Order: sequence, then C-alpha cells, then structure tokens
Amino acid sequence: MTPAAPRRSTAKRIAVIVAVMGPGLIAANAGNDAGGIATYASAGSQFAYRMLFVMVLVTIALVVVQEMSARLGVHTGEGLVSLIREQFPLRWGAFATACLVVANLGLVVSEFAGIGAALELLHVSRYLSVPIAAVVLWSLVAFGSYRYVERVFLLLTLPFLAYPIAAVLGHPSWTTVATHTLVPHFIASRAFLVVVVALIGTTITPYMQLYQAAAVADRGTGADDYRSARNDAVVGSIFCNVISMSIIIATAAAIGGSGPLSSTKQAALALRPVAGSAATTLFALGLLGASALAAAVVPLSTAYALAEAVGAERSVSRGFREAPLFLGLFTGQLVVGALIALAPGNLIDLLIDTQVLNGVISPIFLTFILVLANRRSLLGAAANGPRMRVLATACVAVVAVLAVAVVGLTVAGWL
Amino acid sequence: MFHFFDIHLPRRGLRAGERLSTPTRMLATQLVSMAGLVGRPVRNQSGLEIGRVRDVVVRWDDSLYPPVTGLVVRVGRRASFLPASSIDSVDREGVALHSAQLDLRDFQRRAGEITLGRDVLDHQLIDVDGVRVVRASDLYLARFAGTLRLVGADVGFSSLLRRLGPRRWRGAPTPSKVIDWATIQPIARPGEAVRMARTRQALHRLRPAELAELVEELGATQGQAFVAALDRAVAADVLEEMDVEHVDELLSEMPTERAADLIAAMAPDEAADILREMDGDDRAEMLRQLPSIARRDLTRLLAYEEGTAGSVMTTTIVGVVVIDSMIDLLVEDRRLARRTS
Repeated sequence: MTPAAPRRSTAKRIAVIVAVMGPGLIAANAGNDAGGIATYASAGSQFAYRMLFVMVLVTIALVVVQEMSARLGVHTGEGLVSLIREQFPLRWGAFATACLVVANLGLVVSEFAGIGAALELLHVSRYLSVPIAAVVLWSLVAFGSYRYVERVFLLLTLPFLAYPIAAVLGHPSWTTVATHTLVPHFIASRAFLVVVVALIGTTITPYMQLYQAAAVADRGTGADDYRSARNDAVVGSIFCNVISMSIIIATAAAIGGSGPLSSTKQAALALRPVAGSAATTLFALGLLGASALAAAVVPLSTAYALAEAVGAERSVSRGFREAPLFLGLFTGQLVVGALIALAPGNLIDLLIDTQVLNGVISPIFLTFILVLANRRSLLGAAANGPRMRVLATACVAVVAVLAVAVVGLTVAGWL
Repeated sequence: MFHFFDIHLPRRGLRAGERLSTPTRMLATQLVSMAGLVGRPVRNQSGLEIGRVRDVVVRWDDSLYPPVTGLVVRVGRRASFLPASSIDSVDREGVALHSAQLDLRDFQRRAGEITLGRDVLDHQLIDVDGVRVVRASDLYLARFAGTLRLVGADVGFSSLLRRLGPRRWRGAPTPSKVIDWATIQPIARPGEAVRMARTRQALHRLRPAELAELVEELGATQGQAFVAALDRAVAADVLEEMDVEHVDELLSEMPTERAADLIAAMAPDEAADILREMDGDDRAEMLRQLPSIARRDLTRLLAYEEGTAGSVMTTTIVGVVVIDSMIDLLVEDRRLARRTS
C-alpha cells in the first residue's frame, strides 16, 4: 500500500511512548527550567554536596504532592483551580488563585531571565533578546504554530541530559556525595535556609501540581487507570530529581565551595568534563530551550486554568473579542514577565529570587491540595487514608515552617 | 413556551453604553441573588432573628424553573431545614416567616432535591443557546407562578467581583450576563446521578455536532455523564461527530454493555474506526458484546487494513428506485456521507 500507512503507525508508536512517559515526567521536568538550573547550580557552588540530603527530602515531598494532584485529576476529571472554585468559599478560592498567578508570574520572569542569560552567553544583549523573545513567543502561540516550534525547544533542552555524565566525569568525591546524601545535616545560617527554600520553590512549584492534575484530567484517565497515573507521577518526580541532584554534583565537583553563583558562565563550567571548550555554547542552548519552552507554556496554562475556573471562553483561536480574559491573562503575563526580566541587575540573582518567591507561596497552594485530597465528599474511597494524611500534612507543614522562617528573616533583615 | 428572561432581560448581556431598560431595572429589583441571600437573617413574625440562611433547597423535577422547597438555616450550630410553606417573604434583606412558631428539623437532603449553594453555584453548567460550558457566578430566585423559583444563572465576571467585595454589595443583583434557567443544562459530578437524571428539552434543539462540541469541552468524566443521559440514538449521533480518540476515552469509562449498545447504534464505518482505535483486548470484548448482525458487519469492515479503501467503506445500503436520476443518487449519497462523517 501507500507509504503513508507505515509512517502513521510509527507516529502512533511514538505517541504511545510519549503517553507512557506521561504528564508526570513532563510536569516534574518543568522543575528543571532556567530557575531550576540556576538554583541547583548555585546550591552546588555555594554549599558543594551539602544540599544533597535536602534534595532527598524534597524528592519525598514532591512524590507525595504530585501523587495527590494526579489522584485529584483522575477522580474528578477537573483542573485544580476549578476544584478550588467549587469546593471552597469564593474568597478562599480567589486567594489561592491570586497566589498561583503571582507564583507563575515569578516563573515567567525567571524564564525570560533565562532567555536573556542564555543569549548573553552567545553575546546578544538581553535588552534586545528578551523583547524579541516575548513578541515571537506570543505570536507563535496566538497564531497557532507553537506546537511545531515546541519540538525544537524540546530538542534544545537535550544538553541538560549531559549533566549526569558530567557529574561522573567530573570525578566528585563519591564518599562525600554518599555521606551528604544519606546523613542528615543542616547549617544554621540564613544563606542555607534561603537556598533550601529556593530548592523547594523550584522543585515543588505550584505550577507543576496544576499541570499534573490538568494533564491527567484532560486525558480522562478514569479511576481504573489511577494506578498507571500514580506510577507515572512517582517515576517522573524521582527521575527529574535525579537529574537535579546530578546538576548539584557536577557543579559542586567543578566549582564547589566558591561561594554563591555569580554568572551563567560560571555555571556552564560544570559541563566542561563532557563538552570541553564547547561547554558554554552547549549550556546556553540548553538554557535557551528550557526557558523558551516554559515561557510559553506557563502563562498559557495559567490563563487556561483561570478561564476554566471563571467559566470564560478559553482558546487561543478565539481572538480578543471572544476570549478577552484568557488572551488578556496570557498576554499580560508575557509583557510583565519580560519587563521585570529587563530591569537592571544580576540575572542569576533574579532567577534565584523568583524561586524563593515560589517556595514561599508553595505551602499556601499545597494546603489547598491537601484539604482537597483529604476530602471524602469529593474523592470517596480515594481520599487520603490516615497514613497518607500524616505524611502529606508533615510535608506541607515542614515546607510552611521553612517558608515562614525565610519571610521572617528577610523582614527582620529590613528592620 | 414562556421564558422568564426572554421578555425582560437581554440574554447576552449589555454592550458598552447600552442602558438597562425600565422593565429590566424593575425586574432586577425583584430578583433575589442567591449569593447575596446566604448569611442573611431569618426573622419570625415579631421580627426576632432566629437564624441565618445557609443554603437554598430546590426540587429537581421537570419544571422549567425549579421551585424552592425550603431553606437550610443555621440556628446556633445546627443546620436546620425550613420548609418553603412557613416562609412569608424573601428579599435582599433576608427572610421573613409567617408565624412565631417554628418546627425546625435537622437538614437532610431528600431524593429529587438539591442544594443550590453547594451543588450548583460555582459549578459548571451548559448554556444550551450559546452552546458552551459556563460556570454559575450567581443564581437568581424570583417569585413567579405563585412560588419562589430558580429563574436564571449569572455567568458574568462582574458578579464574581461583587461576591468578592464587601457584604453590602453582595445582595444587589448585577444581571449583566444572565442565562434563562429554561435554557440551562446542569452537569453531573461523578457519583451524583441526580443532576443528570434527565436532559432538558432545550438540549434537544441542538444538532449532534453541537452536542459533540460540548462533550469535548466538558472533558472525559463529565462528558461521559452527559452522553449517558442522552437518548441512545442521539448519543450515537453525537459520538459519530466526535474525534475517534475522544470517543475511545469516553467509551472506556462506560460499562461495556452500554458502550457496545452505542457502537451498535452508530454508522458501521464510524463504529469500525472507533474499534480500530481500541486495544486488542478491549476490541475483542466489545465485539463479543455486540448483537450478532453488528458484530458480523464490523468484523468484516475491520478486516480491511487502516489506510486501504476498504477501511473507509460502510455496509449501509442505499435504496434507489429505478426512476431516480443519477443526480438524485449522488445527492442521496452525499447526504448519507455527511450524516456519517
């Protein structure tokens, strides 16, 4: 028959593989965006291997939270923002949504900062690259060609898969890695606490729970397929944190103990064992791909979730007249995000600050997820059992205490 | 058919610069906002406050505008049921009762009743006229045909803002984007069959393609409940209009007998496309459940590989009388193809 037939079946096979990889992997991978890379690299350069134990705890918390989000999506078939609107008094819902918008706006800022930083490595001024990137991304989404470009961005992020290799080739001290991963230890300093909250913020971002629930709900996984959705959420979370930890190890081996990260050029050194002199270019391309990918997807899914909760028209093909809320939110986030990323100052600091902001907001959103997942009137038998309740509450409580501590110390610093 | 808002209110909302007409303004003062009513005092005949409104209970039957059967009232810490018969008047300031005597029972939801605040307000609804899924940001009650009834749903953003604002704003209706309740189809939540027990008459005016669009917008879980509430023939037509992948998802969440029943009711070529989309085991199970004639037809169609001419063929027979012209035959063929694709 026609050559079209086998090609289609190959496409189908790839679709199946992507489906198996699943939203859990994609959602958790969103943690490895510009802000994530900067935070992990900074953690490695400032505290060498000392953050690894924190990352183990963060991984456990991430698994717990992503599993709850997937369960909510599977059993209700609705996005988190919609659930919050239906299940809480309107004012509480509005508060949670406002927190989410601020957190995601922080992410958009960090993505544009990432684009700016990547192109600065390739000798393009950010005052040129950031506005152009904003206009290009907006047009790609608004005119519907984003789907095709997405794959290019996705390919560009491949260099980051070189981090585990770099971690091995960089000859870290494996005994130190092992002890710091397994033995609990903390440093009582403000800098340590801030980096911990930034790690939480970049790993357990509210955006990831939003994405996880929506992706599962959209596919209509159904209660029977909950098991595969759960495995996907768990495996995805663990896989991505292994990558994150390898970024910390590779950076620690290259420049560990040299104080806070000061430039992206410094961060790129971690890839030198793999790429040699091409490390900077490779790092820049990876950063560009990851940032561009998220800079479009984060505002898009925020606008979608909000429009769904309000009950407004939500489609990029409708135009401003028909979907003013949806397109207004999308455009607004791109504009504000790009403008803040253009403010003078160090891009690395901006990247990490936005992750700290996410880490501070994260416990608020997590509390809403926890209450929903506990609710028997919503989930029936799939609601959190007593053990899960204790574990999840403990995770949220620890994240909340750390966030409050950082806010407290920051405010005390101003006084 | 009498429509409450057709006569008085602009259904699609006002454009900038347009003013509310006098009858509309008069009506707006008679509407009681559900969101504004919650938290208002319930007073007995002598003006003594006995409790506060917590929710409104309506009967969920065939009437176009569901009648209020009572209120859930918070008295102290208890949630009590106040039957509609003991209510004298309901307005923006609160509820007044007929008598000083009151028989309060603990609230328990009865079959055929729903609570507006918990089950309808802020939930998804289908606007049948606009063919879209909306969310109720407020519900309006009005006394009409002798009883207090649910007459409309507000889907405007301004109503949401009003509810977020201070309490004194909350009671004043802002009927800018009100949908007449007669043209609304509520949607079930998983495990709550009561709300989709029947489909509203207005829904039957929609074409299968429009219904299919709604089902896709609703997503798998609610879309499935929606399809389940449709007549078998209508449901089959709707499935024919949908993406094959979406249909596969929908059917996989239904009991197999019901899914097989729908597949048997579909045009054979469309049904074959859906079976092709399924996993081998699911397909075998589905074929086993089909009536023998449908099974035979579909097995034959499935024998043609995807991408071959046979796979796009149908087993439907077109009857042609000898005097039919060639043109008539082509027209009939087109009509059939349009119906099945």
